[in-house]
Amino acid sequence: MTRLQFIRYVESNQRAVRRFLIALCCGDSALADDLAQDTFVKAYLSCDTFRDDGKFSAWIYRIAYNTFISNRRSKRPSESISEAATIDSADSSDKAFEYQELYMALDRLSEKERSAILLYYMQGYAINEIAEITESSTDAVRQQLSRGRQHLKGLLKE
Amino acid sequence: MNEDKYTSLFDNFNPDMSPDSLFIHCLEQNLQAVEIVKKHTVEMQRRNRKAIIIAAITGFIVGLLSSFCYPFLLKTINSIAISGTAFATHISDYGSVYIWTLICLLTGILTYSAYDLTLSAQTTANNPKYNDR
Repeated sequence: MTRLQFIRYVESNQRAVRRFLIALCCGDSALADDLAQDTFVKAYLSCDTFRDDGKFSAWIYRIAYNTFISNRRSKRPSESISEAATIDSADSSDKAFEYQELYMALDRLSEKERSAILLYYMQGYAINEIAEITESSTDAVRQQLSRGRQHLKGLLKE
Repeated sequence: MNEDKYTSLFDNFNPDMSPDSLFIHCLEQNLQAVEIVKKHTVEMQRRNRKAIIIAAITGFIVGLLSSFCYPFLLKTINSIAISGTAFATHISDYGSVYIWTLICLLTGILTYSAYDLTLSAQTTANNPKYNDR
């Protein structure tokens, strides 16, 4: 893949990847953008060795997921997002708070549950595809989806 | 909550993002930096390969010449034993060991020097500061 082809691919798909990462980072768009940049740079470095053209998109999400997990492991614990909900916004139409409830619900899920839910419901991947992206078994993905749904149902009803 | 409700949760999910043009611009800068580092790495590998080849040839030639000189050196060492001192006798007894050690040291030093000089020469040749003289 040439650099031009890669940039063209990124231009048409970067919004979806960033959207996925924003949800994965529970609304932290600055972090999501940094992770997206890291993801695409890593993909560019390895794209010469990538052969299976049909699964390029899934491969990008795999890199994005691994980048997110690495970032979480190296990051120091920060304040929970539920504490941010107590902060009043001066701008009542601030779009950042539109999805506050969803972000808080996602934040309470484990990383694997969150990833499984987002890849299944947001990105529309099948269970076996999610298993490949997250390097888990299909049974594990089913379990994560089931648990994720249970938690989301409970949290969004509160 | 049924499946459709979970799907619709994310169908309407459209968070605010920084402009696409800004994101692509940052990415292109990052990719440019990656290209520079890759180019530099390839250049360093090329220079190292050249230096290793020259060092290997130098080592081979020095080793070969030293090996040809071995009989002459051994003769010289043995002639020292004629003096009859304990030291001379010791040198004579272990003459071949000392000669081969000397040959190995000489070959190693000259090989490393050839490697170092080749690398330095390539760096100097590629450095504009030296080319402007």
